[in-house]
This record gives sequence, structure tokens and C-alpha cells, in this order.
Amino acid sequence: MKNINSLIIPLLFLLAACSSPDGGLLSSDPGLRSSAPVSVASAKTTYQLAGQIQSAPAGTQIVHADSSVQTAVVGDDVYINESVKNTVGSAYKVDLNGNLIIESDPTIAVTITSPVSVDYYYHQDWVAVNQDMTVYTSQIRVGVNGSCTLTTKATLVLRSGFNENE
Amino acid sequence: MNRLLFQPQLHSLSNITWLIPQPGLSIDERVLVQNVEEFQFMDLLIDLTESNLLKDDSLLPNLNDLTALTDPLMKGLVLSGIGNIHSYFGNYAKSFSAFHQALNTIQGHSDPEALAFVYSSMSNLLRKLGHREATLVLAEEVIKLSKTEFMKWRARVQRSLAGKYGNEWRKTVSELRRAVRYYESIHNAFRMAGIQRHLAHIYARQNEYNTAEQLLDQAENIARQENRIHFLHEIKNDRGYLHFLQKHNRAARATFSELIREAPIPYQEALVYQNLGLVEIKEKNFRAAIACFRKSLAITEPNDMRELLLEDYLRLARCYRKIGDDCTGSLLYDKVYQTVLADLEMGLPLNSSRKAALDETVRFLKAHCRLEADDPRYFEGLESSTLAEARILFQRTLLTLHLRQTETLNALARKLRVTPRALHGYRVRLGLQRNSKGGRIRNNHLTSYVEGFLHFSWKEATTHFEDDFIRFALGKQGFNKRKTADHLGISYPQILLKTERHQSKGYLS
Repeated sequence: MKNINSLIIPLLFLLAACSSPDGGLLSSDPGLRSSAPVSVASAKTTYQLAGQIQSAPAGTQIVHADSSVQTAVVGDDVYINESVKNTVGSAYKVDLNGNLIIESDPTIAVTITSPVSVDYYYHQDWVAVNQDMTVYTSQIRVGVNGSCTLTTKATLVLRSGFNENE
Repeated sequence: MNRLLFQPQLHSLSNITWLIPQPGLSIDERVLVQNVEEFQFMDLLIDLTESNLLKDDSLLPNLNDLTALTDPLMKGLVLSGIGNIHSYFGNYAKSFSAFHQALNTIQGHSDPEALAFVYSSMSNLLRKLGHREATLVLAEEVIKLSKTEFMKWRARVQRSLAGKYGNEWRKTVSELRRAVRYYESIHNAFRMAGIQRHLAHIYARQNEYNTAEQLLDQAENIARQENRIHFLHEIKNDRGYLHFLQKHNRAARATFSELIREAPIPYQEALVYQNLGLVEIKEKNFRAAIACFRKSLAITEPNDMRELLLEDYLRLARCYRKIGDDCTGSLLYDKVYQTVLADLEMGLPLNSSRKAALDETVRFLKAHCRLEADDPRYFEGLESSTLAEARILFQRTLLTLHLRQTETLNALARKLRVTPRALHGYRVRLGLQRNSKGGRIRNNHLTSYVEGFLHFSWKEATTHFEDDFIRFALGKQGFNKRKTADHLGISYPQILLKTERHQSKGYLS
């Protein structure tokens, strides 16, 4: 056994010396060594209706789970794990029934009573239940359970750019 | 110790100091008069004269004499005026200190007009900081105390301005228009112009841009007639912001740039850089926006202009996040946190904007908190992945972060110490297509982990990741190497090689 080990270890170091220049194990790095496609396990996608587009101004798009994009029109269905976004920066809310409603005011404060993922001000994050937050949103992604309530109120989040001196 | 800002039952004359925060240390008078501009001192004299509190302005010949004043009433009034000047500069730590010293000096002399003047100044600052309730209490107190119409109207204006962006904006407009008529009747064009400027803000907020423009025109005419340079700068800033609200970004940028060339006072200059930054954000030029906010920060930080400082930190943090530099973003969020904390320690309660800033900060810091080097949460969701699958995710995340931060592909190739051709190969293999600035990143812990490799070469980063991931997998498989090799989809000799390396690094006993 000792003899076998004494053969294996130098052999392994020899193999290591011949390993790919990018640091991956032998021929295991997809970037350089192998031209064969590498399969990646993906979660099974289920399609469950999350809501319906109630209003769709210019620039509104539905982003499907496979990243393909479709221009949204009123009445379009939105499924869980799909996103709705507006390239011109309108804000959205998702009502009790999971409907996506576009807000006119891009600065809205929301109280979320069910999990929902919100792209707030250039950053995507999950929002906890009953957490108050402020959204300058261009995108809301419906969570696993679909329906959520966002109550909105207009608010001036930061100071305006006007000079507020007397 | 934090103190409650709004205590209605306490607003008797002797206890009104409860309405304003108490800075930890009282700032020395000589420090308070430092950096006060000559024109502001002149404005202070005008202010006192208009309020019928200074019969003879020869009593206050220059700034240096302020600290030598022996008349307590006059000293209190001047301290209050200096507090107002620091409000104008956005340094409210100095303002609050000056107001407290003013009240301490004046109280006991039973001069309601002098007290009304101090309360009016305090009310103005609290209004600027968005503390509506306290503003209203102080304004009402001024109306009760003062016998002069001038002071009463000043308080009514403060009271109205406290609600200028609220739902009752129509009521505010109506009251402010009455104030304009009052100032017109006493031929005080400058105060009239000030209110016209605020009316313009309200109409702009309600998307009535033409009315806002007309009001700014009227205010500008008056400022020109009276040769008020600083007021003209304020109006120009407002015009720029009006363009911005109308999404006329080019016009906004031109207006702000022109104003910078006119060398406004530091507070105004910082505000203009912030506004330029907002324009750049709107156009998604995040690096240009960062440059603007940094210029503002270079003014607000050394001058302790807390009113603008928080916005600088917060907006910089957001911009750095946008370009994928969460490390710098974290540092800036920490600054936001420290700033809000300093306010709370001073006794200034959270208002809606500061609460929003704090909420955002806490959320970010919570999501991006650094874990211990071997924390299994880094690899959450990868428990069933093979080494090849996990490596793809790691490299994809790493390249996404790099693509967001690095301007050109050649520069990125140099940074990663690979050839541009190899880099192109990685992008194609990892699905980060040409013209793409990177994919979306879902696992915040993994992102946080990958950020630790941004200064490594591609080869070093990948090697370290493989070592860490294999160690993670070994832990999950009870350190059974054969089972781990099967699980990771690699050969037994490969895992022996890797664990040999771990042992040489002292990872495994």
C-alpha cells in the first residue's frame, strides 16, 4: 500500500503540472479545455399565474423565465418567476390579487405583506414581510406565492434639488 | 441621550428648548463666526433691522466684534442670526448650538420680540430639515409672542412652507400668495421674491412647469434689480432642477455647469454638483455621477454640511452598487449609518427621508455582511452541484462583477492576467455575451464571497474557489473522500490531489 501511494502522489503532482493555465482541474474548465457542452442542473420551472398587466405605457416589457423579452400590453398574463419592467422607469405595485399596477409617481413608499422581490433603485433584493421600504422601482418580480399587497403613498424620499433656503 | 423633538405639553416659554436637538458639545462663539461670509452678516443686519430689533446698526460694526458684545439681548439676537447663517450653509450642528446659546442668553430678559426672532430662526431650520410638527409649534409661538406684523408674517410663511410638498399644497399656495401681497404692500421686494421661488418649487412638484418658470422669472427680475448675486445663483439652481424634473437633461446639465462657473458659495456649489450627479444617474452615466457626488462630498464633508452630506453618501453608495462595486458601496452605507446615528445622538429624530436612508442602509449591510471565510452560507444552493457546475456559477459571478467595474476588455484581460482571446472564450462559454455588462447575481452571500477575489488573477481565483468548494463538499459528506469525489463529479485521484493541497495549507488536520 505504501508503495502504491509513493507512485500515486508524484503522478498526481505531474498531472497538476500539466493542468490548465486557468487553474481549473484537468480539462474541467469549460472556458479553455473542452469544447463539449457542460450540462448545468437547473431547477424545474413551473408556470403559475401571478398576475395580469393592468396598464402598459410605452416601454413596458415582460421578461420571461428564459430571459426572452416581450412587449407588454394590457391583459397580458404574468407568471411567477417572470418580471415586468419598464425601460422608461415607471413604478409598479402588485395588488392583493397579484395584479401588477403601474404607478405614476416613481417614488413610492410601500408596505409589503407578502414576500416579493423588488428592484428598488438599481438594486434587486428580496423584501421581508411587513417591512416598510421605499421603492424607486423599474421592476417588481413576483415571489413564489404570487400575491402580495403593496400599499402606496406619495412621498418625497430625499431632499429635492431645489435650494430650500428661506 | 436622545430627546423627544415634539412634546406639545412642554411648549411653554421656559421649556421650548425641548423642540430643538441639543448638540453634544456647545460650540465656541469664535468657531461659530468662522467662515461667515460678509454678505451674510449684512443680511443678518438687514434681518434684525426689518424685524425692528436693531435701531442702530453701528452697534454691530463687524464680525470680529460679535464675541465681545456685552448686551445679552443683542448677543442672543446675533447668536440666533448666526444660527440662521449656519442653517443657510447646511451645518445644523453649529446652528443648533448657536440657537441654544441664543436662548440661554435671552431667556430671563422677558423680551418677547427677541424670543420670537430666535424661535422664527429655529423654525426655519427645522422646516428645512423636514420636521413639520416642530416647525408648526415654533411658528405658532412666534405668532403669539410677536406684536409686529412683519414677524407674524414670517412665521406664517414658515408654517406654510412646512407643508409645501404635502397633500395640502393648495392651502400652502394660497397662504404664500397672501404673504406675497403683504410684502408687496410694505415694498419688501426681496422677501416677495423668496416666496415666489418657493411657490415655483410647489408648482414644479405638481408638474405645472410653466407656472413654476414664470414665478422664477419674476423672482429673477427682482434679484437683478436688487443685485442679489447669491439669490440669482439659487434661482439658477432651481431652473436647472426644473429642467431635470421635465427630463430636459441637456438643458439641466448646461444650467448647472454654467452655475458652477459662476463660483457660487460652497453650499450652493455642493448642491449643484449633487444635481449634476442626478442628471448623470438619469442618463445612466454612473461613473460621471460618482465624479459629481465626490466633488460635492469634497465640500460637504470638511464643512460638516450635514444637510447635504447624507445625500452624498447615499447616492454614492447607490452608484457604486450600480457599477458592481459593492465593497465601496458598503463603506459608503456605513457612512450613511454613522451620519444618521450622529443625528440621533444629537437628539434629531428620524424623519421620513432619514428613515428611508437608514432602512436602505440596514437592508444592504444585512445582505452584504461579511461571513467567516469558511461559512457554508457562501455556497447556499450549491449543495447538490458538481464541481464543474459550481465553477461555472463562480466564474460567471466573478466575470459579471469584473465586467461591471472594468471599462475595456483589454484592461480586464490584463487585470485577470489572461489573453484577450482567452477572455473572449470565457465570456462565450459562460454566456456573458458581447455588449453584455454581465448577468444578474442572485446569491448575495456568494457575491460577497466572489468579491474577495476581484484582485486575484483568473487562475488564482479559480484555484482558491475549487479548494474552498471541495472543502465545503467534504464537510457535507462527512470527510469521506470517495463519496465527495463521486458527488462532485471528479475522480478519486483529483480529490486526493486537492486534499493534499489543503493539508499543505493546514486546512485539514
